[in-house]
Amino acid sequence: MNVGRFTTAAAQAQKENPTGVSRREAWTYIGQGLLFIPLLFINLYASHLPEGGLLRWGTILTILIMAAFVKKAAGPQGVRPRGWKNFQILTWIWLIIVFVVVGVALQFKVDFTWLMALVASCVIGGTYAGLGGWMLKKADHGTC
Amino acid sequence: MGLAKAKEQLDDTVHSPIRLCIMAALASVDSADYQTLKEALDVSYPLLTKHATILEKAEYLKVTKQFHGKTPMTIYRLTTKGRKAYEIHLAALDRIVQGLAAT
Repeated sequence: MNVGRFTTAAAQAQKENPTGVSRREAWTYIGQGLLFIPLLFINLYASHLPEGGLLRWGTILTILIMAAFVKKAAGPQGVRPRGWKNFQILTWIWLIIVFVVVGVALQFKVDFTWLMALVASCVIGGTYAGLGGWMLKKADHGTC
Repeated sequence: MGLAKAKEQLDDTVHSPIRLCIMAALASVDSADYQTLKEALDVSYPLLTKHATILEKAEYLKVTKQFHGKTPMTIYRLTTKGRKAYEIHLAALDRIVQGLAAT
C-alpha cells in the first residue's frame, strides 16, 4: 500500500486524543471503581465482622444499585476514543475472571483474611477505575 | 502502483466530500454520536442522515440507536470493511498527488 501524507495523517489521528470524549463518563467509572473497593472489602471480610450476613447482602445490594445507576450518571456519551471497545471488553473479561475466582473461593468456604479481601477488592475496583482513568487521559482535550 | 491503478482504487462511496469527512472523523475514534458529527461537520440533519445512509448501505458504517433516559441517541461506528475502504482510498490519493514523479 502506498504511504504518504494522507495515510500518515490518518494513522496519526488515531493516536491523538479526540475532542468530545466525556469526562463525566470517565469520572463515573473512576468513582464507581473506587467505591467498589471498600464495598467489596466489607463483602469479602464480612464473616469476620459482627452482623456479617447482613453486611454481605447489604454490600451486594449497594453494588447492584450502583451498577444500575452508573449508566444514567455517566450522561450521554458523545465520542468514544479509539480502542475503547477493546478496552471495555478486556475489563469485563478481567472482572468476570476475578468474580468467578472469588465466587468459587466463597463457595468452598475459603476464609478470606483481611489481606486477601483487600487484594481482591483492590483488583476488582481498580480494574474498573482503570477504565475510567484511561478515558480521562484520552479526554485531555475534551470539552465535556 | 501507477496513476491508472490509483485512479481505479478511488472509492466513489468514500470520495464525496461529506462522506469523506464522516469517514475521517469516525476513523480517528471508536464511535461518535450524531450530534457530535453534525457539529463537527457543520451540516444539516437531513444531509448527514442521507450520507450516513449511503455509507451504511455500503456496509462501511454501523448505526446504533439507543436511549439515554428519554433522549434518543444515534451512534456511528466504522465497520472493518469501512476502515479498510478508507485506508485504500487514502493510499490511492497519496499515490495520485505524487503525479508523474513516482511513475
